Amino acid sequence: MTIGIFDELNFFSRLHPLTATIYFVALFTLLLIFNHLVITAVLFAGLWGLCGWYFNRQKVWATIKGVGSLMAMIFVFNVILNQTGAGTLWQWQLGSWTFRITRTATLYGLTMALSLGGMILAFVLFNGVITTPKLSYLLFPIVPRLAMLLTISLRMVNLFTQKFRRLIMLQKTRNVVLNEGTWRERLQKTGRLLRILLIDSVSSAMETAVLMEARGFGAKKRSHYQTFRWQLMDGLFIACSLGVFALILICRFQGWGWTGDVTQFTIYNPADLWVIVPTLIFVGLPLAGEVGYKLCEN
Amino acid sequence: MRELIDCAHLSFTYAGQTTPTLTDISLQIAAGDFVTIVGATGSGKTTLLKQLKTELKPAGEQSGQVTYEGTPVAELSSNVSAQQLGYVAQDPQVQPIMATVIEELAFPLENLGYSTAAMNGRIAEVSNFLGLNQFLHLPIQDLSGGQLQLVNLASVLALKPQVILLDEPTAQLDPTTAQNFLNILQQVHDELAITIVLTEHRLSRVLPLANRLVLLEQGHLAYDGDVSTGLRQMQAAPALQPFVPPVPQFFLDHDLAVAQLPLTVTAGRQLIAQQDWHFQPAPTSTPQSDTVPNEPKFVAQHVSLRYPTTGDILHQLDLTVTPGSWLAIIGKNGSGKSTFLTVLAGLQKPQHGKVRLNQQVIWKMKNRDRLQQLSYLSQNPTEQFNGDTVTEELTAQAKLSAGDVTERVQTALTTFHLQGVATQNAFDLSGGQQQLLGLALALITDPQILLLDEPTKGLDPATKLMIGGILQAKHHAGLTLIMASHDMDFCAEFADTCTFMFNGCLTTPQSTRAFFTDNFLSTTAVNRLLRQQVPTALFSHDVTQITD
Repeated sequence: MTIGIFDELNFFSRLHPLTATIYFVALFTLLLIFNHLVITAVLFAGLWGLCGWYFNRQKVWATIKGVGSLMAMIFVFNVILNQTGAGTLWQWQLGSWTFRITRTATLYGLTMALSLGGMILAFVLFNGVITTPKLSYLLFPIVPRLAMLLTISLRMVNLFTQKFRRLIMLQKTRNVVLNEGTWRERLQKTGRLLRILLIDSVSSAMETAVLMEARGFGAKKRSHYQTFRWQLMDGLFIACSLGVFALILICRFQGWGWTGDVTQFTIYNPADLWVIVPTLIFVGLPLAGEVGYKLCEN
Repeated sequence: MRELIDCAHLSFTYAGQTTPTLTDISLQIAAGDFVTIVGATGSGKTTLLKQLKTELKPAGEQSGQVTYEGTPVAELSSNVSAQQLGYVAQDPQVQPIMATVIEELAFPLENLGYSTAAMNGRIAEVSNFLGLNQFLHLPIQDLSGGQLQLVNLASVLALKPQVILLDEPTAQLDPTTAQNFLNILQQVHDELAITIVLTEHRLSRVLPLANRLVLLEQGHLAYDGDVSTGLRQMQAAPALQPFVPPVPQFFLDHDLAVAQLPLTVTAGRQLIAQQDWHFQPAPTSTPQSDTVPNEPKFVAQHVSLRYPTTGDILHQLDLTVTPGSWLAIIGKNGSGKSTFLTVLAGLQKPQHGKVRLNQQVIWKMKNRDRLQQLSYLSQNPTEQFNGDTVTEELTAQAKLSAGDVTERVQTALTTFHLQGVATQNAFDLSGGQQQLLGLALALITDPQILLLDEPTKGLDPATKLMIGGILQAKHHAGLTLIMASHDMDFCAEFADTCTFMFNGCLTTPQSTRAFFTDNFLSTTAVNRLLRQQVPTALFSHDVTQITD
């Protein structure tokens, strides 16, 4: 999911791709290792704030609304399917079958929903920072063919998306209207548009392949245009990020922020505070970097 | 001059065909040449160009030989071929493969294993030379067609080629952008001494740059020599007459005795002044009459539209279309012409304003009802094809309106000269045939209004004239046409009213002759040539020479 690319002049986008990637690996790890409501809520709120800082707020709000429906679904499924929890809030009997909504199922559902929402927001941030050139730069030394394939695929996906939008609009002139008719008819029309897209794309892709070869693709072992340099701020950011991340991991190894037994779930655990503080610092590190970067301006 | 490329008795037949596309072509290209290859659609121009670089060669049977600096092109290594012979395709969209401009410029250098330092040097040099510095980090999809074609040229130039082959590089660009591109190409040729071999339909801008004209007729080399003599030969062949640009054509039409035909308006004016030739309006030339206003039934009111990432594309736009008129909307690429046409066609709903056809809001009409009254042809007709054969496409569309389907399909095949390709897949047709099929699809439902987006884009002059003739016949039968175009000559010849699209709005529509007479820049070449003597002249036949 992409809602924009960072302004090239800010601190986060100026970081070396490897630095940014390490930060995101740590961030995704944090989203996976805690299951306490307050911590996941803090992570979600922090990432929302970070997205709001870096992206257009209207687009972030639109994304939150989109993610919200998915989060609501996760919550509802957890509440409905988790019948063994503790602390019955409401129950309904039908013959021998009892349907219960429990406190722990509700808490667990909320935690999972916030965790998923946080993960999506982290991906949005990741896409804004790690653009295709950066991703390709990171992958090239390890898997050069995959890096090239990725670059080509992303360009093609972009072209297909644009083309498909135009087809939806222009095929109305052939009486192919996607939002008219029964679901079966709509599916058939979508299939028809995809067929047109495929025919057109195959023909363009053949020409593109010939033009790649005409510019020497496959003639020699490829080199890679290096555009990123390791700077002092990368070292500082990595040191701070890994330091705070290590601190959070120590907390986690103390058993804080994680409950193995669902029936033991609570809204707040006193030990959570020791996790929340470094977590907030970790999420806020890019903003601290922005402040530092601003202060270093001439 | 050192000989670079030598085609000796080259013949080529495409796989699965029996008739050769190229027959016994012998041609030498010297270092520093600027060669323009001209010919009607299907004459073999592109096929010839593709024979000069082995990676581009289509599947088929070849006889004769093509050499580059004495080595057969087929035997050149990929490395040498890529470095020495550059190629720029017609469609700017198909070449780019990378995400950003700088990566696209680096792509060929990476392919040949250049070091980062060497790449930096080459990219810096090329981007400075072509003025691409401010675009380097832009995503490819954010570039306009002209910028993209410039990036394609830069990507080829980064390898320091000896020869650049270009296949109708300006066919998809508007006239101003095309002129800018050709100016840069001239700079590349003049300052870097790079040999240019280019195929082109629109010759008025290209020929002043070329030192050689190569004329192909049905796969045979009909002429190879200086431009002026070549133009005289083209004027003598009825099939190639429409290809002769307006300025030299004016001199040929009026039998004005000149040693070298002028190729630009300035050169033409100088010759007319030197020879003291005088012209007057032709007695038979009658200005196109203004359409008598009738009760309007197709009206756009206060239409405003913006895309999420842009400002207003259309800004409080008003238009009242007189039934039976032919309105041309003229404007640069990106001025909003295409967007406006899609709004008029009910394909897009603007944020504000209404478009009404016979009092009904266009986007609230049922799709089928709308198609029976109004048709739309996109500037890329393939986006309106189903991927079936020509006959199947026409049959499916004919079923959308009442009447004998078979009869209408047969009439359309005949009118649009598509009988020979009736069983072919629509995507396999040539660009001109696809445009004709697009037009046939738009007209087969017998609409009252036809909206055309750049109907002449990428077409050769002969096909353009044919399409103009078909549309004119329909127009005389009562069809209302609204056409977005930057083809001044086509608009001047066929439309009866013209307007400018500018800053999201339309200027007040004027009758065609008044519009082009008033315009200083956006007018026909003949008007620019003769406006001091006959301000209302738009075409060669609008004037006669005053003889003492």
